[in-house]
Amino acid sequence: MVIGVALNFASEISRLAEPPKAPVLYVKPANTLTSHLSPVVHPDGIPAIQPGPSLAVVVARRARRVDRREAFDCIKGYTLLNDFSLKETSHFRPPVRTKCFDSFGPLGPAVVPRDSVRDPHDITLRCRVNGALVQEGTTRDLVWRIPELIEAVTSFMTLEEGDAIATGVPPGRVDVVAGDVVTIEAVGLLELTNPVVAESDYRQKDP
Amino acid sequence: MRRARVRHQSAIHDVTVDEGGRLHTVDGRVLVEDEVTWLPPPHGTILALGLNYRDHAKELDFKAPEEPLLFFKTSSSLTGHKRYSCRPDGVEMMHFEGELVVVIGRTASKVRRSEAMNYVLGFTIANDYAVRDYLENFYRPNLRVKCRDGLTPLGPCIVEKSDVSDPQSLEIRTYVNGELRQQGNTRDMVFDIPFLLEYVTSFMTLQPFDMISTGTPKGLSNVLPGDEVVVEIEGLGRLQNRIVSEAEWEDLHE
Repeated sequence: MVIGVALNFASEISRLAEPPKAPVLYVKPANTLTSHLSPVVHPDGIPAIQPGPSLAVVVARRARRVDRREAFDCIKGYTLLNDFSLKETSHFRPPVRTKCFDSFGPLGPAVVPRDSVRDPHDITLRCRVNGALVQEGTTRDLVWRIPELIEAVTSFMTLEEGDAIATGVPPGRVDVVAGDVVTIEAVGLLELTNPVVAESDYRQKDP
Repeated sequence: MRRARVRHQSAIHDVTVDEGGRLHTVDGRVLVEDEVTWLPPPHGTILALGLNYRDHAKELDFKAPEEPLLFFKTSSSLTGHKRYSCRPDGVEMMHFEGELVVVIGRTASKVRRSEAMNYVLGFTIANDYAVRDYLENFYRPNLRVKCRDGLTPLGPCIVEKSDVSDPQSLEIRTYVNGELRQQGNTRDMVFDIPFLLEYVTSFMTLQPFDMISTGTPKGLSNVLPGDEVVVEIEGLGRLQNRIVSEAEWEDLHE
């Protein structure tokens, strides 16, 4: 299972009249998950979809009521979620149709072991479309940092080995369409690439 | 046919339940109900509906939505029949929500309303408790309200659709300590089952044992540690659950 975190960059929070009291969580269900180089399907009838580079923390073991001071003990490593979404116009209702079309969650390409990452709160996240840099942010700007997220989530919900928390998409999402190739990057660690294909083309090739 | 999942002497069994309540394992053994722990029935991704009964939307001072209000239930939020759900210490309002759950029978994508029922395996019952103190206006209802460990009883069984005459005409009743607190009928859904299947599969592919919990009718009320809560749906059975305090819950999970 993959849990996402919305509104987790400082500049997004500063615009809100009332900031969230707890991390704003959502679910990326199984139908959304796909792998490096697999197509992301651009649904027919929707003008554009938006990729979202997010650093994901992969859980090493069952984690329940974890104190933030011990949070790193239950981390196996880090990977990338390209957290595709339709353009969000509101954060009032859960983002089910917005973020849960089939293939809207490329995950990977590998898990970088925890101890080989010097500082997960100093990672540059980038999104490139057809090679051009279109979005950049850094995990330095996370509002809820990794230990706080693990503490907050496991305070009410048990995580199992292999579950992941995607820590958030930096501001500045862009539109992509069928035919584009999207690469997201945790600079120096990981690159995750997916072609965007039209639903009509994809269905014809689907056996 | 009725299917359930139980634990017996530390092994997990998928069983069928006969009319006498006996549990038949796939290898032909018969288990007695008193000797098993009920688990949630086999399940995949679970969606749930908010505000899907007009009377309930009105009760919460909301207009019935124009588009289904969906959220997810996580696997760890489930518990079985005759198990326990925790009321966190110090909260003001935790209420039950008796709901009809639709269980998917085969891979479903871009399903048309007119064919939707062909994709249904059967039905079960959920009690989609909510801890209202944790509601925020971000992604409401948020995970802290709806996806707490063991918060949501599911079961006891999946009843195949051939054994349910009309899923859109079933009485739902919720009892607390034997007292009837909630009563409604699935005919009063804002979005009926075929509509929901068409809507959900327009963007996500559902797989066998994925589920949609179709929302709750009017009649919410607070529940407290010690309360015995039963959701009963005509033809599907009775889903029983006891509310425990945080201390009792922690003891159960030592």
